[in-house]
Amino acid sequence: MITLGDAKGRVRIREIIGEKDFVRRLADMGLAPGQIVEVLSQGNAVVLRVRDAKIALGKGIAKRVVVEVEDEHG
Amino acid sequence: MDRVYLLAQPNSGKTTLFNLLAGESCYVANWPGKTVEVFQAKIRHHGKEFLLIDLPGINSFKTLGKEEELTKEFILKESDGVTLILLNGESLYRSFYFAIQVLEMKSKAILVINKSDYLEKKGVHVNLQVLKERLGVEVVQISALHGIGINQLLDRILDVLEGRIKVKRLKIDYGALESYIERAEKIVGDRSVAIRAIEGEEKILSTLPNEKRVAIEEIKKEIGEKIANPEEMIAMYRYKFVEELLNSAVREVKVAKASFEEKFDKIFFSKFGWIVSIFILFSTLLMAFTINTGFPLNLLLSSFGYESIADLLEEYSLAGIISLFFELLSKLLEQYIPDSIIKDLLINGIIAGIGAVATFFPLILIVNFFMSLIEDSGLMTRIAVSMDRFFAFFGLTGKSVFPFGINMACNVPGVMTSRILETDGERLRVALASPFVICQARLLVIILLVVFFLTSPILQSGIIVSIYLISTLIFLLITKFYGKFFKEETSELMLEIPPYHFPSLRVVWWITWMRSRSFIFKVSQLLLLFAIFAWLMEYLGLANMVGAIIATAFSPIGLEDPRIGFALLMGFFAKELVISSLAISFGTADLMRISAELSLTIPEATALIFFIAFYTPCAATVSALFAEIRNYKLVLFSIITQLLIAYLLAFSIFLILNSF
Ligand SMILES: Nc1nc2c(ncn2[C@@H]2O[C@H](COP(=O)(O)OP(=O)(O)OP(=O)(O)O)[C@@H](O)[C@H]2O)c(=O)[nH]1
Ligand SMILES: [Mg+2]
Repeated sequence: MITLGDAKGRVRIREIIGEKDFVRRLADMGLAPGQIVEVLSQGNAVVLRVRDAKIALGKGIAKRVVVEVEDEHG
Repeated sequence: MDRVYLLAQPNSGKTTLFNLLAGESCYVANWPGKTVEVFQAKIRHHGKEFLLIDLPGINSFKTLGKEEELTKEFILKESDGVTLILLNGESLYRSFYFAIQVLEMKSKAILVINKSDYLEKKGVHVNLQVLKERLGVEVVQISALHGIGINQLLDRILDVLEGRIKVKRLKIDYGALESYIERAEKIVGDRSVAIRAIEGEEKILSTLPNEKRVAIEEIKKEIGEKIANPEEMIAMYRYKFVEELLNSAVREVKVAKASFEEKFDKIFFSKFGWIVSIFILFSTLLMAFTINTGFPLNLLLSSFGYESIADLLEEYSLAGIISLFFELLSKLLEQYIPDSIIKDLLINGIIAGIGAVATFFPLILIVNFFMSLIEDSGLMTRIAVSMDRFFAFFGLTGKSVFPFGINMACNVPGVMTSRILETDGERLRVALASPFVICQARLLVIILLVVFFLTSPILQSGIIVSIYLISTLIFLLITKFYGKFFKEETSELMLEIPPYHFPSLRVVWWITWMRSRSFIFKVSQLLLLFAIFAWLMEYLGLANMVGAIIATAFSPIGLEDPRIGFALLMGFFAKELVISSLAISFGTADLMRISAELSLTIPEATALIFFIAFYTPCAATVSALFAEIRNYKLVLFSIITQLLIAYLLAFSIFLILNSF
């Protein structure tokens, strides 16, 4: 199982693990199941490009977003 | 008067627009029932007046902080007035996802797409006509920063206020969920309420009578069994709607090329980004310190032999100029008012008190100014991201580095900066732990005592360094401890990173002023009260008695002199007073002689310095803490914790040094 905590490149979100409030908060940031995001960096926090926005997530949150690899060459 | 509400996600340019429309006419109102500040202003356009209300930015309908709670309550309940939904041109997709949710509930709305200058630069073209047809509301495009499209916006507001424009509520197609939504609508009587209820919105569900609640839960369960999790389904259909909307209304003409932003961000977001961040914060603080008190540049200069420049720097620093002014004022009064209790109160109570407020103010202003610059340029979020890993150990987010850094300058703005944090829990924890960070005033007192009470240079520098290390450690541990103690869940970073841009000085100055003036109006009143109280003690001759009582508590660590006891009491009001109080009770300003007369042993002197470093920094901080968290029990609790920890540290260091 890959999560946003260790993914690289373009990935598709499969599932968000957490209670419904958490799921909705992420959905409002553009992180809903089915959405494609690009992982820009895995430094001290996870930085993503979600459509036209850049979003940073703490490692703890990122580990709760399950993803699948979309395509390596984005 | 008609009301117009400004509603947006954070960073959309709400403050910029509000400032542009309201200018100086804005005032801050405390929202009824909540202690959150809301900006309001009367606006005139074509002879008509309306009240513009700036609601706190809201990130998500699943709210966290109490400010967002207020905004959500407005969206769900307020039915009058026009809502301006401000969209962030830098992230249209997410902004529209937010906007359509508001439009599902509010029909009297205007969609305002901000940052048109950015869109233009990026070659993004938005077809407003298509949006207007699809969404059923007026759409305008503006640049709040450059004042473009503002008149048109005001015209549209009047149109809606005066009913010249037909409005209707947005209806989104929820596909497979539609039949369930219809059923729920029959139960609760309104489509948007039905959708919110299916999403499990507590604010809606709690207003329903029990049997309706049960019926809704039934529908939710059915969706869950037959299709999928209802919250996720609804989010998915909304994103689909936004995607189709933007596909038909937005064209990207030019492809933007990778800019310096990407290169910069590569560094910031790498494993070593924190080094850059610390460098930026450190130089900013250094600059703020130096403008305010000349320190530490004056020390540096004089150690290189440029004493005259160092003196000049100190004299013409802001704090130097202000204290000079108050000195002159007291001298003047001294000459022209006849001796009486009134004169004494005026000079030693009130002017001393106002002087204390005044000398604090520049530092707060400067620190707020630099903070706003960092915030407005887009650096702040990057620094927060790069520091996040470290702070996560203690259940904080990377944003906590800001209050922490500012606390090193002064605890008053430090406590106030806790506001920028993500959750109420994190705000509370950081605010309560702030007094443990050594501020500039304490540093000065510590340096003086270390230099005159201890002779070995190794011991001197060793003590200062260990005080800083211990203070950082305590700050972090205390936030963790308070988290456990209040059963607050640890907060985690989740924020949008805006593009860099050159800060607008007008807006930065405005934000600085708005933040700083709460110091004048809230904190200073209490500070003045403390000052008058201190004067009264001195005037009634209670000082020595109280000093003796306090000193008994310190006899186990060899500090039984009542003059020290009283100095510590004065230090509670303001740390600088420790030195001046010692000077008054010993009848000399020469610390050398005071030190000789006290003849403290090394363990005793070190214990004293440690206690001074860690107990309650000053009355202003206590006032700021109260203004921020408005819970006197918690403030009292935090003072007791500070005294206790300071005492324990002093005691331990005393024992350790004594055992050698
Ligand atoms: N390019 C551009 N930038 C803008 C415009 N309006 C605002 N900004 C910038 O966007 C950033 C956010 O602006 P603010 O006015 O602080 O936004 P806000 O909605 O009040 O943000 P919060 O208070 O955090 O919710 C700032 O850096 C502004 O300078 C605009 O029209 N064009
Ligand atoms: Mg704002």
